[in-house]
Amino acid sequence: MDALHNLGVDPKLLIAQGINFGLLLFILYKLLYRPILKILEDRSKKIEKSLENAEEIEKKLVDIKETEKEVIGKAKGKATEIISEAREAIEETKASMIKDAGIKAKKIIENAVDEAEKEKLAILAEVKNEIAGVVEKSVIAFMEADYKNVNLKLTEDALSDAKKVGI
Amino acid sequence: MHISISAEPIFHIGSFPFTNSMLAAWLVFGILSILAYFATKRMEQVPKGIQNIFEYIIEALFNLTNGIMKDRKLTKKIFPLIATFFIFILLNNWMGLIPGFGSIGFHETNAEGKNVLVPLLRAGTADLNTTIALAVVTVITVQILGITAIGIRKYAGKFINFSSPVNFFVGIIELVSEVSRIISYSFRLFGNVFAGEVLLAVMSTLVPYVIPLPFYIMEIFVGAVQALVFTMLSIVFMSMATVAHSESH
Repeated sequence: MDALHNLGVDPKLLIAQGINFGLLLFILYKLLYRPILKILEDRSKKIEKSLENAEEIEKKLVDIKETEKEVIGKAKGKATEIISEAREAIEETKASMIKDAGIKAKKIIENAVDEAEKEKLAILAEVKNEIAGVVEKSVIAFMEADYKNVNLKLTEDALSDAKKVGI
Repeated sequence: MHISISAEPIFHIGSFPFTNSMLAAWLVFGILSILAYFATKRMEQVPKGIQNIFEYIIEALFNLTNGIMKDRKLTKKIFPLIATFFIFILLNNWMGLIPGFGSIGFHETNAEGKNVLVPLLRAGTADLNTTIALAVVTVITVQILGITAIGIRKYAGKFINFSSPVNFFVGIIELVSEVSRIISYSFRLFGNVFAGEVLLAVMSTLVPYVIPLPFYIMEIFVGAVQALVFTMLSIVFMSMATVAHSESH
């Protein structure tokens, strides 16, 4: 023990240094180690999570791209279908329209022919009346003017004229 | 030139001698507390400045401890002690190299009637009281860890073993080695730091300029190595204590 004393070892100082160290340990634990270890752990957890998230995002992106391709493919198919259907429909409509137009044209022509026929008949009737009128008037005039000198030949001529016209 | 192997009291509080190494140790205590306070005052997820430095130190020490312990749970338990050992010893070792340590003081007439310079500051680790205190803390922690890890019966079985005369003898040797660890631990650290200081003092007296510089650089290195050695040995002993003695051993 004497040797230790010569080296300056003093139990009082030894204990004091021990307490000093213990106190430092406590303060550093509270102020330094605990908060820093916590933040380090938090950070590594966060990084782990972000890496996981990134992987997930990548997977989702691949999925989305695949779905996109699928959807686009489907849409293309459908579009072609719709276009061909539309074409068919147009074709059908065109044919039916042409048919309708033909029928209508025919009808119009028929109507026009009928109308012309009617008109013709009406004109003929009118002409008949008018000629009859003229004949009557001329006969009357002739008879009133000089019935005694009636020339039979004239009457015959008038009648033949009328026949020429087609009455 | 007067070199005292023991720390000298600079004043007394009652019968308690307040030594220069004690003052330096308190200084380290204060500096570390202030630094720790500012390092974690405003913690940020993206560290800057002092927080970054301490994060680096703590992470490196944690990985070192975990690399030897290979048990995260145990590492977390002993880490504060290990980190404090390293930081406290390192700072004490390096503080002793600051000019003024050992050279600023007051003159006093010693017991032999000689007028000697009593330095106001002396590296904490250049005092056996500090190193023994640290060694005792380590050895006690090792025992506690051993008991809690493998149970008191198994742990005591390491030292007291009547299964065979050889095992009994080995147990005794283990017990002695446990105690001698305090001595080897404390004297290694004290010896290195104190010798470094003596070397520097002698060199500075012989050739005051330029020549002491390489020795200063070497002492900075020695200071770091000794802090690391003490810390590493503590981790190794703690990790050994948590493993049960195999029968084949």
